[in-house]
Amino acid sequence: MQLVSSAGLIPTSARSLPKLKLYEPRTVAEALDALGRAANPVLLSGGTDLVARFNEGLSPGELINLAHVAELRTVSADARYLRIGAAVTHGAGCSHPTVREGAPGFAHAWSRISNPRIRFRATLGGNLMALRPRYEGALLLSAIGAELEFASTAGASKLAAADLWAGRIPPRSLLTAITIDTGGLAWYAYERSMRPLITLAACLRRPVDGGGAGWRLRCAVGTEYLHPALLELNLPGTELREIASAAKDIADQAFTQLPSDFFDPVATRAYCVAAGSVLLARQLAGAERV
Amino acid sequence: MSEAAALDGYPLQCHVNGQLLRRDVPIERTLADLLHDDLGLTGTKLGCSRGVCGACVTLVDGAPVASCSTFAFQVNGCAVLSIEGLASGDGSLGVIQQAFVARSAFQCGYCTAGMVLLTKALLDRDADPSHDTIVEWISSNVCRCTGYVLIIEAVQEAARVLRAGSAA
Repeated sequence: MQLVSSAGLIPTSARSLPKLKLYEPRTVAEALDALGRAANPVLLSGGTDLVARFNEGLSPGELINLAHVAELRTVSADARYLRIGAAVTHGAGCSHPTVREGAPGFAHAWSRISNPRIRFRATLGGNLMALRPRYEGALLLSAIGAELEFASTAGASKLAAADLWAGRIPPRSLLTAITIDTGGLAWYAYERSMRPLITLAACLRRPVDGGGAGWRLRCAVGTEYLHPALLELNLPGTELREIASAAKDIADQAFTQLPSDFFDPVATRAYCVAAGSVLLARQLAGAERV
Repeated sequence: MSEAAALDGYPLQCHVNGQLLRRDVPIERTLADLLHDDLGLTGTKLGCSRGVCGACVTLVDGAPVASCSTFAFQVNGCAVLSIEGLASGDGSLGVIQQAFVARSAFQCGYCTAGMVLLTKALLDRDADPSHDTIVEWISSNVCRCTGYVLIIEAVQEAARVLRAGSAA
């Protein structure tokens, strides 16, 4: 604690922020320029997580504030793809008419993460690039098969949301947008009632572009400490009620794919299989009500 | 392409509780430190210093933010409301504050400023929030004393009084 005149005692932790320089780019190109010139930069999007990271030891020299890069805050869609700018806040994104129309289940799931205070400022891109498994953006986007668009001075590149932790984020790059394929998207659900022990998001798609009959189930499973694991199944049938009526068998079959190393200090793999299959079955049983 | 310049300090200009503030601030200065230390608005309480507990909540353009995790330069051009800004000109308590007193919605009081401002942000958006909505909003902040029941009742009472006032 420190005694500050006119203010009384204050925690010293609040005074431990490193000395910073600030860049305020207006465009992605200017942001990349700043990323290239700064010696030890960190990107500031919503910023809800950044001071916590400073308290955990992060000590950058420069802050690149993305608040004025308008192209990072746009949402757009065409007949097949939904594109969400990386600096779109949770609150603005989950209530955006384009998101709600293109991926209604995802929009609802997005509205459930965090709390109202955080949702005002925290961004989807910041949620992802914090690289904290307990942040739910990566789980939600992995289930729906989203792609992450990066810009760097070496050019543009894409990365599957499910590969966020695969070590393939380009160096000195900027996450610019998240792209969701809405083709064939029929159902999406998120189950977080047992968070932080286990959470899961699941998505059902119909084949598109002459891909045959049946369904493709994609389920992402996460915990407080583990990167999401993906479970995928091809399922027969043409109606969602067929999925709903076979929900328990489908969920049990899906969870046989849970990796052998999927366990953490509070949940064994056996627990995750037992609890996760129940949660997935519960969601699938409601699929016909969509 | 223009080269973005790196700034060592920031020429902040904003409104705090309705008063224009112009001040050069270090880039790393947080909004909480600006309010609490520089401006002497000590109703802004630092708790966790990582944006979780909500004790330091202030309203920025009407939205609740954790001032411990907001850099001062981020409120440039904005209207900032701290708990001191809720009092009337004669120093009497506002409706939400009175509801918190009437319901004894605090014990140690450390979270109260943040809770009151969070309540204002909620009631500014929803004059008649459901119980579930109140719970969802109040869960943004942490109170280790009351168990939240009295806080929820205070929010409901404040909403009733404010609705009655606007209907009159």
